Amino acid sequence: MTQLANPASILGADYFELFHLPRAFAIDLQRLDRDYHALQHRFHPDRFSGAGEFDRRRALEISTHINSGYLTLRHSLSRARYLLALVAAAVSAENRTPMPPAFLMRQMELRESMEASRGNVAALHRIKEQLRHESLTYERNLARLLDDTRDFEGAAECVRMLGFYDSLRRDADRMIEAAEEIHAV
Amino acid sequence: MLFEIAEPGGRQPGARRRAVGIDLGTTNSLVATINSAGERLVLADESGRRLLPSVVRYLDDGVEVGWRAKAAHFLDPLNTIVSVKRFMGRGRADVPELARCAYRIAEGDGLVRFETPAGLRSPVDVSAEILRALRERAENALGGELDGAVITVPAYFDEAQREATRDAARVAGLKILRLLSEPTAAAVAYGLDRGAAGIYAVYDLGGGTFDISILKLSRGIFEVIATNGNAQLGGDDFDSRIAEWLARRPGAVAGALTPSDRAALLNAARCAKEALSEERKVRVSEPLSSGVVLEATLTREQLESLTADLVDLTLAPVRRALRDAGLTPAALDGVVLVGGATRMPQVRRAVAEFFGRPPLTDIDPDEAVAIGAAIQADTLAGNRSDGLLLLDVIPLSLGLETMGGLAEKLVHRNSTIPVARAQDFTTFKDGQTAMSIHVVQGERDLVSDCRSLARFELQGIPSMAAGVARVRVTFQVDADGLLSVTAREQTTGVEAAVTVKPSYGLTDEEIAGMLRASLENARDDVERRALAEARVEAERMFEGLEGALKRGAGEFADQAERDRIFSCAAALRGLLEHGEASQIRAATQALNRSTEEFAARLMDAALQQALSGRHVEQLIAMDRKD
Repeated sequence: MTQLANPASILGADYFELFHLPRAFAIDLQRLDRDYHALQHRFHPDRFSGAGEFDRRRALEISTHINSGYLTLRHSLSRARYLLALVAAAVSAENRTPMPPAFLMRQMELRESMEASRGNVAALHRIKEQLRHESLTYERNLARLLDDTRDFEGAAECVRMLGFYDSLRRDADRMIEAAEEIHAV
Repeated sequence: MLFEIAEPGGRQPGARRRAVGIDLGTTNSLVATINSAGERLVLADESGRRLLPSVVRYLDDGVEVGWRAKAAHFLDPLNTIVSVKRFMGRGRADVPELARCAYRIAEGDGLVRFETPAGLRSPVDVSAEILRALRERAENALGGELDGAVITVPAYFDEAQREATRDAARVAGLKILRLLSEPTAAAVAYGLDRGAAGIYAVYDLGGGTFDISILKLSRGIFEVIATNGNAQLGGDDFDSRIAEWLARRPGAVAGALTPSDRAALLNAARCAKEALSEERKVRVSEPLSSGVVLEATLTREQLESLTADLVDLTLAPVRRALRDAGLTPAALDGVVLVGGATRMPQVRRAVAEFFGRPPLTDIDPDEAVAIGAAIQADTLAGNRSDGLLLLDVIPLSLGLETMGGLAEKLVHRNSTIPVARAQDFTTFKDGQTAMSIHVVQGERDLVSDCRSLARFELQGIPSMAAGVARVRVTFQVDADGLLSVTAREQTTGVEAAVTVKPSYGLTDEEIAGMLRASLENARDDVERRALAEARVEAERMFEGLEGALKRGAGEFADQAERDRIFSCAAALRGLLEHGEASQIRAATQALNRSTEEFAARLMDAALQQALSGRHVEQLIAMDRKD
């Protein structure tokens, strides 16, 4: 499948080029999965186990590059961050305007309700579902800002907001794990 | 370009490679191969036995491996090493069993070494004996020297344990094609047979280790989505429970048991456990060295209540793996059982209950791993080109020690390998010319709670102000899950590299339950992290202040101001040891405020010397650059 016959061009390619995807936030995830498998099929170190040291080294590099590209594009937040850095490096690096107060209030509410649910696995799962629901709204917004209106300032703010949700989700996971451990003992 | 020439699987026609898969187990080991007709063969010894007990007995004039060594275990328990896998890549302090095992362990720090009639032997040496026996078996069966082997390791094995396994293979004269995770190997054996597609969990309870892997199977691709486990939990622990129970029966006075008695009781326990997978109850009759014959009856219900918590212990990693994969039990297409210990009815029941479906048990739990490894070996040796591809993950996060004893994670657990990550770090002190790099593995926030993998030093950094040097540390994990680390100062190109070799010194509990502990202490960690950060901040403040005063900056402050600064500093000093994070932060801020005017005057003076800066620390840094 790959037209990237020259390995040097693979290592030099950005992740969208690597997977033959348009530089956009909305991408075809099934196609990404398929092309990921095809690329690893061609370049995974296991395909070069009988080759010389140079080729094996090269395969390791390329396969590593393919894995980081896949990981970056597979998840919406890292994909958005990466895309922003590609198309509007100045915006994503410098934009440090304060977040809207209403957003910060909502974050505090969510955090408080998580604290209040400490030890309660079912309640924490409900909060996680709520987090997912709310961040989907921001993701839809992000797709519009990045792909349609190309408002990169707005997109950068949206990415930072999604970052808040991501960190809440991680904390919720840790709290769920801690709660389960206590039950198990 | 060279790269283009090497086509996958390109081999001279006709030359079939002798490749084998080896399951190096805690209790038993196996070797398997794929013949030219594509059949899977588990290779047997001259008596037709396919299992090789992972037991090595050292004698004055040689070594016994396997069945003979196992038979001699209770006669010669001091020189007969069983379950050596539990010691692989572990320091003396890391293995809880050391205290109650019969072996004579050489004094000293670091690696475990057994005192044997043949001299000191490390776990790597003992494992190499087992591998050598399997290699000979395979060479006899295949009629010549082996071209390569795939050796399996528990998915949850860390760096040090993987390295030790690779070393053992080298000692045994084997060319390693790949270290492969046991559940992944089992999935290959299972999935290829049935053309299975979808998402499967592999629950692998072996003699000494427990793994859970969640895999996505599609068209010859086996993609691990998440893995978890417990590297210190297996069938052995069930045996120990039964043996302890036996030792409490009337007739066995625990204190009077000799090492031989203990070995005999463990053996009786294993037999009883195995029998109870078929029978409802079993009679144990064991003559002890005191002359007393220990008689007992053990029912399946008793066994289950003796070991219920062990079965529960396996479910926590299962939950974590599912959560990391973002899946619920209902989303799976099947659950495959692997490992001899999954024959126990209570294990099967617990798994069925948890996943809400009966587990798939039609695969031989002893042989699946070796067969999967053989299939992968056949692929890697170039004998087959059907496009089988295994994408595995790293089981535990890898990171670096940063200031205040905090662990900064570079590569997160369940990242698909090969993987690389780079991160920039900077110097903490002015004029710092060396940076020590401490590589750790684990999920906890504090370095002291993670497993220490390696320490090395990057030297020759040119003297610069704190925070100016840019040291880029790169972690590369290869397809075997083995790590190499390089560090490079960006402005000068000074470089240091290390292949990870274990550094020891952690206590057993910290390693056995690294991840488990990470959860129990999730909250505690946050507080300790805050405390560590507050302390670092305070120390920085002190350094800046002391440095400034030492070089006579004190003359820029009057007596009252100096008094105020010193009293703030004393207050902070007093809190540093036992204060809470918030108190230390408040006192640091107070000290900072008390120096504001003083710092401003210093700055003016500095500006007059054509320097620029705002904080005490930066001024000192600039002074030194002059």
